[in-house]
Amino acid sequence: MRGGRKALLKVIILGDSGVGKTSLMNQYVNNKFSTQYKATIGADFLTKEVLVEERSVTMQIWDTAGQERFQSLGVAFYRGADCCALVYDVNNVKSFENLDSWRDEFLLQANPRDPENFPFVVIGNKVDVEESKRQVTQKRAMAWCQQKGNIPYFETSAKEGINVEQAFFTIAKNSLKQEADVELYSDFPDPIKIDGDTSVAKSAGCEC
Amino acid sequence: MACSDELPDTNQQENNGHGCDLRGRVWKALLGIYRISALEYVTLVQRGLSPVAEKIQNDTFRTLMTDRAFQDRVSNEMLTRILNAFVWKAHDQPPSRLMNLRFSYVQGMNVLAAPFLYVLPELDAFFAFSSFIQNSCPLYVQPALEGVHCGLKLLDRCVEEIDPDLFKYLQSKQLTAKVYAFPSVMTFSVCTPPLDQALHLWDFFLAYGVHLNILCIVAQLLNMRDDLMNNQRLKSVISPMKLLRSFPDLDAGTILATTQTLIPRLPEDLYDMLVRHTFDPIVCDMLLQEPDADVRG
Repeated sequence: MRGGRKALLKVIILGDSGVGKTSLMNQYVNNKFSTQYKATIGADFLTKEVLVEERSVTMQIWDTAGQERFQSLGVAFYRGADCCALVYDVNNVKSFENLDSWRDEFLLQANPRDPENFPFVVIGNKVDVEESKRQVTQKRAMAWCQQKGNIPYFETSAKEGINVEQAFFTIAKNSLKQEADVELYSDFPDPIKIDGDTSVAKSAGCEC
Repeated sequence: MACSDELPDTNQQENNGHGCDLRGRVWKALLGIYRISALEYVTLVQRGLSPVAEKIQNDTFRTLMTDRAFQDRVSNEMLTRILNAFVWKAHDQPPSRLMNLRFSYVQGMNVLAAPFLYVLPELDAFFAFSSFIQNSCPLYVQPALEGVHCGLKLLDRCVEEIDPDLFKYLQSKQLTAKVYAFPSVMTFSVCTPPLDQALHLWDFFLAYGVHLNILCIVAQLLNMRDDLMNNQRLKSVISPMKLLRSFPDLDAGTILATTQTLIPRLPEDLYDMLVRHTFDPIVCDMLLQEPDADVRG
């Protein structure tokens, strides 16, 4: 992991409550879909080893509660993210309209070095639901993605396992690309011992 | 009594919507619910869906989905009614002048309402739940969940105090309480099955203080200690992160026995903060200003 090329990618999944963030993560990592899902409290996380451009990388996927927004989770959850997947439900227009604020809040909280070029991926989930229920057209979603700097867009079904693999593969690939630009930065650096010497100094006596 | 003589499991026959079983009566007494007003609850329910009904609806049907006994006993409608009624009740109350507290619905409250609806008839459950939220852990359900964050910080400190090696090990894996214990802290351990064991923990919390949940989480970590630390030697078995993703099923007897040995091992000032962190904004403000365990060196 040393030498600037980290093998760990941190991916954050965001979006309104109930759009299927946890299901997407579970489908991708475990190839499973459960109707017995529960609302995520705080955050949940899974890891998966993937091979991208002949490199083995560990993807650490952080699934967040979709309701209380960032202020409730704290910066620690978003710090050091390599990619952010914004998820909405194609049958719920409000969840699509909220993508703007999810994106803005992510940039505010995660505070990436180069916000203009930070890799996002947009996922329109639940395409398995009948067409008549659909509220957001592909065209509309793609227009939004284009306007935000050509964000890659995927339509998925976590239930049927449609396009999930492809979406996450793009996430991994773009995270790595990002990493090449921002080198020598690791989520998990070796700890810097700042108290190593001071504790000795302290025990030697009071300074006042 | 909740501690020395175990309360019997919640009685299905006795509590069929008309009366309270022994646990129900004990809980009400411990929460100080001496009178309840059916008229008040009915009036609140009659107001129908609250301004946050959509949020509530999104969570009620996925509350303790995997618990058969709970699903058989508590309907989606009961949860929806009790949570909307609570939001209306809070809506009517003027914000307290002393502490700037605001109550509405936050995700996770559905799980906190679950034990009350399981143990008590709906009417009693409403008043017990309201009291629990507003008096026992008001800071846990503020919009930014400040109390939960304090609980997480205190959990890190308690682990550090009680088992410095385990704390250092977890810290080296970036596993601070915020990462692995958010659900357990926020839901007072109800997120971990089975519910009937969680209810025994709640007997203890209601009798001696809800802050003890933090120490029950420490106890659960200590019970997993070998598995967590063994990973150091046996690489690639199960990572600690995976182990901590969902805690092993609750065994209330073991957890409570361990918890009681932990209390005297904490310094008084830490224990004092622990006691107050669920309701005292001064403690909360103080703790939240301190750096996180993952940035402390």
